[in-house]
Amino acid sequence: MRPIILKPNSEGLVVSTAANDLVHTLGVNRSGVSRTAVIKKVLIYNNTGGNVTVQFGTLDLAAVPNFVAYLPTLLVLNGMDNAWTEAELPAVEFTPVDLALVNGRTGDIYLLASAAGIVVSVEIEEFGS
Amino acid sequence: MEVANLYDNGPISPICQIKEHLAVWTEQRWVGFEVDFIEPQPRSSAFVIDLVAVTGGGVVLPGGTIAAQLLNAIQVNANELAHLRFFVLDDIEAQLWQLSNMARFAPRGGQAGVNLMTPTYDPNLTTSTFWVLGGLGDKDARLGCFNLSGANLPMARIGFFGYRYILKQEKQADYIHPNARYVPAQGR
Repeated sequence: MRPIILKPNSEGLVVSTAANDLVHTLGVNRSGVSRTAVIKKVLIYNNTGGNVTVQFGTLDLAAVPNFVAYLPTLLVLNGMDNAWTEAELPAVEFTPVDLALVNGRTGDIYLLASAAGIVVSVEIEEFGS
Repeated sequence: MEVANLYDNGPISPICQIKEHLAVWTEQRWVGFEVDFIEPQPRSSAFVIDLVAVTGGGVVLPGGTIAAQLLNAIQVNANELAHLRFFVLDDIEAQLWQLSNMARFAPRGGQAGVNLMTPTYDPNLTTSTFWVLGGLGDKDARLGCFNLSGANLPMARIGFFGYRYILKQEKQADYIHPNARYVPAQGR
């Protein structure tokens, strides 16, 4: 058994900018050890006028961080609320990786959307601490 | 009423019967008492305290702390002993200090605390058990916390439950009854 804390994403309601958007910052304990997290539920509303694709991932540790996808691309249909739950989402664990530059990972959850303006809320399970 | 040993694993129970004797470790010495009365303090709303509100509102930043606060709710009168366990409702780690600034639950490697994970390993919160001897004024128990989450926390709630004992000091100073149970109300 790995005990979990079920919680909303730290950034609350996120509106995409078509660039890397922070969704959730992992908790860190008193010893500086990070928690890890799995996305359990995603709810997105798209009223942008066209379909939008979105990926969930994290950033590497390059001087100018690059987005690293952790989940496949999701298609967010226009004019609809789009929901994915535990049944559809693989239990990919967002984990910091302490390696240099492009080999490293912050572990924090980001989204990268193909367009600005979709509204995203995520439910997280955190492990650790 | 079942009488427990100090840190029996299970639901909280009094550590003696009425009219039995205690020796309480406080202010660096053992002090003898006879227990005159015991009453429970169920888990209740009155003893759920928000440290953010205690410190005047706002939020606790990610990785931020609230320094140890004297909590009126867990102060007891002179010649009373509070026997408490505590839990948290928000994503914080709460830590205990007694007699102003003595860290409790503090082995050499650091100071342990109670967080949301604690009851998953210790459902009865036995390992959070502590005692407060009343009448020491601003030397009573203090609690602070650390924000474990990655977000701003507008609340940092800590709750307490347990028992309250009314004590009578032994007639002779420094006397400790031979059958007294020894209770730590301070760290060392």
